Amino acid sequence: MATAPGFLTNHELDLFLGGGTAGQRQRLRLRKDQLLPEPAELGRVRQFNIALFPRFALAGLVRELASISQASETMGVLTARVLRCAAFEEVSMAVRESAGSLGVWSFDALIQGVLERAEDAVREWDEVVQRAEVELAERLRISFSTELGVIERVANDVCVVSLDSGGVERVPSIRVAAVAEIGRAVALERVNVLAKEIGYVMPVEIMPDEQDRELAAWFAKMAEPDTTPVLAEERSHYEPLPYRRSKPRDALWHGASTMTRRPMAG
Amino acid sequence: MFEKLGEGPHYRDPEDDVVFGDIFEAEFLRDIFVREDTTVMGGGLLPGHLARKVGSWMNAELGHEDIDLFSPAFQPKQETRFALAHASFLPDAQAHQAILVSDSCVTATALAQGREGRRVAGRLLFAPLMSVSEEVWQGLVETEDFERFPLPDDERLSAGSVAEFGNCFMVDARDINEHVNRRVASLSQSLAVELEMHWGAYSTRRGPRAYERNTLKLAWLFSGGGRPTAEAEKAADAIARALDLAFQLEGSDLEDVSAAEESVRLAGGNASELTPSLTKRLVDRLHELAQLANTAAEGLAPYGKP
Repeated sequence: MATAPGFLTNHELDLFLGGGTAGQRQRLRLRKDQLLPEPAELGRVRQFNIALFPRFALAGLVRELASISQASETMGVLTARVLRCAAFEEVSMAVRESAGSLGVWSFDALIQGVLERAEDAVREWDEVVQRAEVELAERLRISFSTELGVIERVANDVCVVSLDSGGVERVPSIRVAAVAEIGRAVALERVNVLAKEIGYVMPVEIMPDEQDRELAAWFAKMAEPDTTPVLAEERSHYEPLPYRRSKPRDALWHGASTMTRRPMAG
Repeated sequence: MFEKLGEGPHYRDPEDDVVFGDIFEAEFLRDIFVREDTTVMGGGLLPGHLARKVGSWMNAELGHEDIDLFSPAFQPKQETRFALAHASFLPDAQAHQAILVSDSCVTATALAQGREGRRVAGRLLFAPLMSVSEEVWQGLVETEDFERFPLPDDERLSAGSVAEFGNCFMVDARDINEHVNRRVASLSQSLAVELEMHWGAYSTRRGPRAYERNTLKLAWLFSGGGRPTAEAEKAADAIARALDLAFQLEGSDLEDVSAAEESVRLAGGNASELTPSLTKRLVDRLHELAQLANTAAEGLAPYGKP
């Protein structure tokens, strides 16, 4: 099973808002205007300052959200609710650990690390986020949808995604949070606010199914150290004679060798 | 065995050309063998970013390096010819050493040594060196097990090294050519002859090691199936003495003939200048051989009477 991550960090939001310090400033402005909800601040993990937002915070990047009455309040309430649940506690711990193992920031690697550490909690929290998105859609007339696909090509700052459902989507590289590599599986996260739709390319969370688990178990078994005791192997077919020479024979062959000379032709 | 080996040194530093008895040390020297489940297979390098994923399944940190991934399920390729086979694993602490048992002539041809215009091709035969306890090593020196050749100690070898003829394997000459600097030692002339005799006894059951054992059996028969008497041993060993001379005639005198032929055919030597001395030596050796054969026959004659 594959889906888009249920959260994103300040780093991805900064990228979607133009990247660098300009993107960061823009994010802080949106926070100040309460168009972005209050995130879960994890603080500094190695060289990364990390704040976690639920996925639906992407709606705050669509300018039209400001014209919907009670939008920021509703987003704030739902954000606080999803960040309070027990599963998120585990997810945020896994984010901290996963980020601690990164040398450079990579949302793909972060997600992979979180899944490896807290797969069940991720699965549970994703459902919490999905339910919140349904509630947002009902209360604010904004909608979210996720489509899976693969990156077909990247050219001129545009990432072309071939969707599993058919069709192709062109997304500016600035809205691509996944590693833009041809053939890589990605999720296209669409946010629709008052008929204004924006798509973001995210890495996919691939949840292992039963076969994946079996496969992992098989590989783990293959990787186990060999504990089989060494069998006492009969090395030689030698059968000793029950009698021996009375003394070593004085041989005459000394120096005869056909094997050690260095001939000019064999 | 080793009665004629002398004090040594039994090893020397390798020279430019690779020869019979050279000892190599390299991790790829493993005694691979086939069983009925041996099959060809395909596959290749799995890119590092995917290898990490496989590594996570295996609970192993594979890093970012590409890894080899092969299976009989993949289509075999002519250029690589990978096969799934078996290997006798060496303990990790033991050096991967093996001794060359292809003869020097075949080796020179395979490695194109001194052969202009020829390319390196073919395979060379190696026996892996295994380390055994001092007791086992000494036992092998005393019992002459044709399958196992105990090598005299040397700091360049693991203690108690034994060449295991029963585990011989072949190596592509191209890889030997690339690793000639991985030789740790060459054998002295005397030790090379010992190896040759042992190898001949194992591979063809011919030569001094083999006939010495058989003449001892003859002495046992002459002694009525009891402990061989000195008289019976002397009579039987007379055959071995004649064969010693034949061994020398074949291995030394006729090899000199071969060398002379090459010097004439390939290096412009003069046949009529070389022939007389060679012929004289052959004639002398044949007369000597006839004498020893005659002595042996006379010594055996009494045992031929009913």
